[in-house]
Formats: sequence, structure tokens, C-alpha cells
Amino acid sequence: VDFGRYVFSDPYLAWLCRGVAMTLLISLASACGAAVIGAAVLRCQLSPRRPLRALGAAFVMVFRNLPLVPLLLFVTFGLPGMWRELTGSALPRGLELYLLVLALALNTAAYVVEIVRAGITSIEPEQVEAARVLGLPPRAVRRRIIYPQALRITAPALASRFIHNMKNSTLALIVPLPVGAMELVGQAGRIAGETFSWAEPLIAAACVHVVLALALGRLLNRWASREQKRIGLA
Amino acid sequence: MDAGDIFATLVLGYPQPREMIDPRFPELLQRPGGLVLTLLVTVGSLAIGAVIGALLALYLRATTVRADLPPVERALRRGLRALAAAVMEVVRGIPIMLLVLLVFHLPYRLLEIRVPGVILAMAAFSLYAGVYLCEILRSGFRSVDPALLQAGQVLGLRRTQIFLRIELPIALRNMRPDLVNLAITVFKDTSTLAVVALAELSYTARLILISDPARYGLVLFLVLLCYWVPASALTAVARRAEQRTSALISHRL
Repeated sequence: VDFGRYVFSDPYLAWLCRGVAMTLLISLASACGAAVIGAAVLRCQLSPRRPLRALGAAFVMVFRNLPLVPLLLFVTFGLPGMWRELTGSALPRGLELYLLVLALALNTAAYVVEIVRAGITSIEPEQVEAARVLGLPPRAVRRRIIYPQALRITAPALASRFIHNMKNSTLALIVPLPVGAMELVGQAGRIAGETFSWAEPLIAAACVHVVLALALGRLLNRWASREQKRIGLA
Repeated sequence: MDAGDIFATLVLGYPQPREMIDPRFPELLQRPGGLVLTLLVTVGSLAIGAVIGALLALYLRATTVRADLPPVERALRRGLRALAAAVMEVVRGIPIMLLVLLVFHLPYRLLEIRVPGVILAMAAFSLYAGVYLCEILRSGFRSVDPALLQAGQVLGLRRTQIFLRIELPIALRNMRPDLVNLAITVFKDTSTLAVVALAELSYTARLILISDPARYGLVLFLVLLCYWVPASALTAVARRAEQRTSALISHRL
């Protein structure tokens, strides 16, 4: 085992640093995407219209039960074929990174919807009734009473989902990305491809991931407990 | 290939070539592919993980730091606990795919031993499940009201009786939702084994997609079905059991 040669040497260390940056970028972008998609799906699930509710439920069912690997396989193998069949031309190149972020976001959104929905059911219905009696329109009830409380109640679960999403970003390894866009494990694999040594770059990547998970976990837990205190929880 | 063929291939996998099977290890483990292999790895690693989790939980219970112990022993126990905590934090902090890659690449590199992929896969997922199971077990046993155990003592039950008749059933009942969730998580996470070319469900789907790219929609639907049916069946069974035990308990009380 020789870390000096395969990790702390000229191009390899820079590759791994690039990988760390991409890991953070991919997880942040997919978390934002998950928030947007999740909000839309949640809105569907809270709708009085039955078809919209069914659509929301179907979304959650599909993306919670389909593991990310087959989803990414579909994105990388299936989608280009489908595109060619529909439009007759090849899928524009360079879309892989965006598709990867989209797949991660879809997966995380399904879990986020479930978490926030559970939070919403824990709000007393009397609060909604009281707000309606006071003359608040349904939109204001959602925005001012339901969502803020639901988000704070579920802050710890949302924080752990964010960490989970970051760990899921390692699945980018199965997506054929350009070398600059590879995340940490992808860069480790790139080093392994040049040096035929998997052990050192993988151990280095594992160390970075453990540190990231611990540090971000601490940070997000602090935020979550502060949010919970604001509504008198914990 | 028609839909039936694709489905059969997804469930059973492509036939394994003879030379891929390592004679030093049981052939029964190395033959399956597809959904069968996914289920084999899931069940196998949950079983081994249960043993690992129970041993870890016992270890943490045996090294509890109590105020009435001499200072030297307290320090020793703190050290032993920190060691276990560090291992658990590392396993939980590593993304499962990185854990799989480490388990598949390190043994050969460091010890020069070659082991069939199924065994390595089970090793990785046993470790993963074991660490999470330890947490579930600990919080399950912590949730048992100590007054119930004291009541058992007062009634003159022996320690094993208290454990088997009071502590274990109540703890198991409290743990059930978490256990079901863990089983489903492990089942779905075995799809990461596609990265190391173990011919489980996702990898088989990939092989089909490569040989027949026009059937992506059908293949994706069938893969979703293969993951969804066992997961939702397990949830349904657990829910049924939940209702039955709660009915039993309310009946007895």
C-alpha cells in the first residue's frame, strides 16, 4: 500500500480534489432539484382533485421503489435510444451530468415528499380549522401554517436525507461522464484505471466521505435542532 | 426476445458459464443470477448481519460505563466503546457503493486471495446490515419499560424467562418497522453490485439493455416490478403481523 505514489502525487491529488468539489456540487444541485420536484409533487398530493393526488402517489411509488442503479442505467442506456427513436437524431452530448443530477433529484424527491407528508399529518387539524375560521384563504393556510411547521418538524429527517443524497452521488460511477465532471469515486476509478491500483484511491475516497458525512451531519443536526426549538420541539 | 423471455431472464439471470464457478466454494451460491441472486444476497446478508448486529449490541452492553466501577476499568471500557463506535461511524459514513468497491478490491490487493463475488457481496452487505441492526436492536431494547422487567422479577421469573417472555417479545415488536425498512433498504441497495459486475437484477437488466436497446421501456417496467413486488409484499406481511400482535395483546390484557 503506497499512498504517496497513488494519492499524494502530482496529477492524482488534483483529480481527487476535483472529485470532492464535484461530489459537493452534484449533491447540492440534486438536493435543490429534489426540493423543487418534491414541492410540486407534494402540492399534487395535497390537491382536492383526485387525478392529481393519484399522480403524486404514483410518483412516490415509482421513485421510492426503483433503486437508483436501474434508474441511472435507464438514463444512460435507455434514454439515448428513446430519443433517437422519437426524434431521429442522437441525444446531444454533454447531457449526462444533468441527467445524473435529475435522477438523484427524482429519487430524493420521493423520500422528501414522504417525510414532509408525515410531518403534515402530525399538525393538528384544529390549527387549519382555526385559520380558516379567521378568514385565511387555503393558500395562506398552506404557506403560513402548514409548510413552515411541517418543515421544522421534519428538519432532522430532511437533514439525514441530504447526507443520504450525497452518499448516493457516488453512483455517478456508472454514468459515463467526462473526466472533469467525475465525482470522488469516479476520480478514484480514473486513478485506478491509470495505475491499476484500486486500494489507495478508494481508501482515500472513503476517508473523505466519512469526514464529509460526519462534518455535514453535525452541521445539519445543529440547524435541525435550532429549527425544532423555534416551534417548541426538542 | 419477447416480454416473457425478458422477464424470465431478469428473474433467473443469464446462465453462468462453467469456468466462472470457483470449486472451492459452494456451487449453489454461485449458480443463481438476476432477481434470485438479489434475493439470495439480501437474505444471506441480513442473516449474517443479524449475528454481527447482535454481537455488536452485546459488546456495547458488556462495556457499559457505570459510575460504580473503578476508574481504571471505566477508562478501559470507554476506550473499547470508542473503538466500536469508530468502526460503526465509518461503516455508516461510507456510501454503500464505496463499501462494495472496497470489499471487492481490498482482499485481493492486501491478502492476495480470490473469493467469488457472491461471498464478497454478502460480506459487504452483512457488515452494512450488521451496523444498522445493532442500532435498531439497541433502541428496541431501550424502549422496553424497566418496570415490566421488575414486575417479572417480583413474580419470581428467572433471568432467562424474563428475557425470553418479556424483554425480547416487546423489543421485537417495537423494532419491527425498523427491521422491515432495513430489509427493504438492503434489498434495493444490492443493485449497487452492478458496479462490480455481479450478475444480479440490475446488472442483468443492463446486459439486456445492451443486447436489445429498443426494449428499454419494457425492461425498466419489469425491473421496477421485480423490485416493487418483494418490497411491498414484505411491508404488507409486516403490517398484517402488526395487526395480529396488537389484537393478541389487547385480547390478553
